[in-house]
Amino acid sequence: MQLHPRELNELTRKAGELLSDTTDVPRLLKMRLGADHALAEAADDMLASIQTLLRELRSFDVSAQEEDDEARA
Amino acid sequence: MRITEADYEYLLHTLSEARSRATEIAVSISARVGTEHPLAKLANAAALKVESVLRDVQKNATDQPTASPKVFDLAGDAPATSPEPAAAEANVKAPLPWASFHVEAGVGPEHWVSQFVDELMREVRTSGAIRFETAERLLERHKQTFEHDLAIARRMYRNYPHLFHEESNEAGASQNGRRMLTARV
Repeated sequence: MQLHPRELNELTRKAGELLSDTTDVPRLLKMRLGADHALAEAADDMLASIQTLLRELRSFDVSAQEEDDEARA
Repeated sequence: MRITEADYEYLLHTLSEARSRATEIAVSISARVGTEHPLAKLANAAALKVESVLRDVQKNATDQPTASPKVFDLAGDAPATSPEPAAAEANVKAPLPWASFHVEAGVGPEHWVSQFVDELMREVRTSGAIRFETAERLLERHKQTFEHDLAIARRMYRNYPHLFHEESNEAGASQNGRRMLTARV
């Protein structure tokens, strides 16, 4: 199965919302607990992970995926 | 500076929503391109990290008294006093005498009500007082978690019924899932 452009757009939009919804979490935890606190660091890590996912979704090439499938067939 | 009750409310609400959204994204990607695809792995990693931070915040909220003003003890007019920090820490770590609650209530230890009672009694031991705000906050959190889990399970079943059919073919797998769902209700 493949990701279709419309599905990819929808997933990218949802990942963008996920990122904007969670942006303040590490900031708040750092302010309350300090930047070195394990929870603040875990929240930073979480945000970085969401940013990576969003970046990869934005740069995902749907046409290359189709070419790969054709090559395999 | 400590985390206030309002902060916990914001964090728990935001992270619960984020967990639902991240799980939905991960499931959608995996269903389209397979679980071994790099995108699916990234989405799963993000969902796991959100889940992990949510659990840590929940644990923090239960283990630590918040920065909100103390309320009055149920027993009298004087504000409840906190036990010494060392004693409070020992109390948190000590075995719970009500650990058999779930047996008496006829529910499993993983049932939300068992966990709610455990968390409430730990809070009582730590702060030395029973507070309506604490009980309300804990109960609301369990309710939100349950409703989110149920919504995700329903959405997954509606959108990806084939995954559940595949699972039901594997020995005992579906039984475990159903047991988990009914255990929480």
